[in-house]
Amino acid sequence: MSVALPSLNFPRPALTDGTDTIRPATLRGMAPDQSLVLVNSKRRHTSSLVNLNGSIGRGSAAVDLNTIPTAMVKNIEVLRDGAAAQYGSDAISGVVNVRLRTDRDGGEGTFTFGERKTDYSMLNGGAPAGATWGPGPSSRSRTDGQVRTLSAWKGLPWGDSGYVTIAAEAKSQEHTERSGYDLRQQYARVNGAFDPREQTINRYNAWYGEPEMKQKTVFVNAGNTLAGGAKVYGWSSYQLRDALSAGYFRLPQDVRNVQAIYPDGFLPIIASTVEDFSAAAGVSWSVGDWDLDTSLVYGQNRMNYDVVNTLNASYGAASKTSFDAGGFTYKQLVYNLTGVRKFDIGGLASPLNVALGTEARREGYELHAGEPTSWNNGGVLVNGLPAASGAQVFPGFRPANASDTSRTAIGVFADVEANITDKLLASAAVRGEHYNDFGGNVSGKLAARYDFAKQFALRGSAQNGFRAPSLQQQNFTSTSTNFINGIPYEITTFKPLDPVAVALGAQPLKAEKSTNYSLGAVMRFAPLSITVDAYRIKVRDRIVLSENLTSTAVRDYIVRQGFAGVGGGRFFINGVDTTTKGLDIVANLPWNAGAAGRFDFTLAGNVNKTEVTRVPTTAQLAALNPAPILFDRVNVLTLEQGQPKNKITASANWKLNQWGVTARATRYGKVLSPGTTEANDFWINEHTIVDLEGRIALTKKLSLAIGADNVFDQYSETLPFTLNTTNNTPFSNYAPFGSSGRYIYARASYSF
Amino acid sequence: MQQRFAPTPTVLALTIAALCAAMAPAQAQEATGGESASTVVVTGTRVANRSALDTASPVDIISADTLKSTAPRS
Repeated sequence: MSVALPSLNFPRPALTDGTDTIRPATLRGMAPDQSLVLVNSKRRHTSSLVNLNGSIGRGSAAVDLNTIPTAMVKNIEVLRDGAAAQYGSDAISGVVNVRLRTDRDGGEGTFTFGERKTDYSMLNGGAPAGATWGPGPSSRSRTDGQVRTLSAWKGLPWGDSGYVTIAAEAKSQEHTERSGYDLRQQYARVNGAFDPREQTINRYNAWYGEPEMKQKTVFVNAGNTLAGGAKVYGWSSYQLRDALSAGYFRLPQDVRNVQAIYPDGFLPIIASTVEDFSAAAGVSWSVGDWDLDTSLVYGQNRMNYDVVNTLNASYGAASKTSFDAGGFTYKQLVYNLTGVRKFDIGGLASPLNVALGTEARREGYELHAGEPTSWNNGGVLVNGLPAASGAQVFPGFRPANASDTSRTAIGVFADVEANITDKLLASAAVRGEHYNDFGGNVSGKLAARYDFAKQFALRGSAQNGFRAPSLQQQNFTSTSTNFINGIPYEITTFKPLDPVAVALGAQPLKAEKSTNYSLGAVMRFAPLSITVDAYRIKVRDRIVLSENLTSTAVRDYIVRQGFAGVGGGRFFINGVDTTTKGLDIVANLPWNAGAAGRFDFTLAGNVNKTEVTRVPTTAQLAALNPAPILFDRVNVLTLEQGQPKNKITASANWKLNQWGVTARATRYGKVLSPGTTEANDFWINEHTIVDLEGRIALTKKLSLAIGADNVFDQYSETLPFTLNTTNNTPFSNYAPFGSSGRYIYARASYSF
Repeated sequence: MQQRFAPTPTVLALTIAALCAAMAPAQAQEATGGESASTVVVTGTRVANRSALDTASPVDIISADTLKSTAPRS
């Protein structure tokens, strides 16, 4: 998808507790939740998961594009400009509108098989002096990550003009494993000597890479024109996804291990189950000169966590090894009514297009607890001290974390657009919203375009927008227990309204506000077309997840406020201001070379720069000695430099008779993988990823394709041992092209 | 437009490079008309029949075929 979309990125983190099964998109270097995703121009529900880990998009709950099978997609429109005045919350950096197939005949079945065939290098470390093992290999070949996808769509007629298009997809993906060779001492010494098992244990003990996944999806889209001319439409989708993602390896001698259960240590696995459902129905009709449209769209995303191949160390040898850790559900119901009509107004070169509408939305968020042993303490002591509570890698949600909340929002908008002269197109939109939690917002947008000639036009817009705090950010909470000198302290991701968070200075979340300016040019020298668009997006009061505030000073302060046994934690807070500037360039050239076939060249480039101009502080924390930092260096630099500074994609498509080839090169600019200090910063240099695909239509119905992504098997630079002290994660999670290497695939399609 | 985006030298260089690279093969070609440029878009505008290259804001279109061949894993 990166081809025609210079500033669209899909971050691909690993070892991030379930975030890795969701594929959020970012536009223009902003957060995943700062672009709006629509299906058939109606707001799509987000995932129930709020990303808590230290990867791109930390703190955001984004729409999971994996829930829409490609077989169901007619095309995707990406608006690279804010549009909150037209669509409401979230449309700060852009809008992704997935348009579903509306076929009433035809169909296609596709089977794809692919796998990773790759070599990568490691920088092993951590062996103790006199180790009887190692040094281990410095590079490794792998074949893994097999993906099998069976998908089909079929168009069926409904009456004389209607359509029912059905798509189904079944997909299974094996995990990829890009572990380092773990040179650490695994077992306790035996009579002063290294355990002989040190020489036989598997030292590729982690799963760093893509998760294992099994996913089934069905999608239906239908529509028909009734006798009176009214059109009815609707769609529905269902997806069930089971994914397995690993945590860090627990060494045999780790105090969090119970050797009676796992004599050779264990790799805890987070087994997440996602159930996603949507249903929509609508009618469009005409009354006089008005074209009216009304719709009701429901979406729900439920995620539940099981933790397997793990234990609760505080139960000792009696511990279970798998736990239901709880989970969460997000629900959204959106009602829309829109009227559009044209007014002929003297002096204008075109009729004035007027759209008026209203949208009512109800959202719900529910968090349910896991089984008690997934989070509690069984009382077993290790070396005289209490052992760690809860399931290793992912302690379950507690009954105290459980919640069931909802909110409503109402918006009204007006949108006008007309050609004032033959050359000047202007549009204006205004939208007011009221949310029953944080209050209201008014957004406006002015956009204009001046066509100097058929070949050249300038376009620009000025607007403000907003993003409502998500229910996930307002209500997610989880607690783990840390023992400090044998005394249990609870470390919590607090709701912003939790009394402890309030004591630390948390405030009720309010909306993020943005101001965007853009200026661009459209050039057409048929057949060549070029667009150049510059943008500047200022966001005030971005909502971020604070650092984990667990210092002694914080703990003492909290306990003094009367919260016994509370060790600190983190919470969502408004207060980061950013300015993002950038430029998108897209050039497209179709070329009919006659007997040599038809070519289509696209060149797309983006430069992007984000600056953090303010970070949140609270008076309560500032008064502590030492005062903890609420939003630290790593998170600031992740916003500023965690996505490529620039990206250039060149692609070529060629077609001749039954043959076809696609070649694509994407050059990602430098990315910073920030450290807690400058000495720990790690730069990922420029890398060019080349993808190739060849196709042949064997018959009118049957076609085959083979291809490779990342043909030249590029990785980001291997992390030194100082930044990978477990040897579990040889590459940075900030690599914009992932860390799984070359992927080769074959695809067979049969149309019917 | 109180604070306009000021292109840095890198930005300008990239713009020029991109334009040159894109224009180079354009000289000896016959018109075919880009498919996506003439496709009607519905995002960011509520006017019917607005094509992708005629909008006041940039809209890109990814076709199903492109999607199929560029996202084999997703």
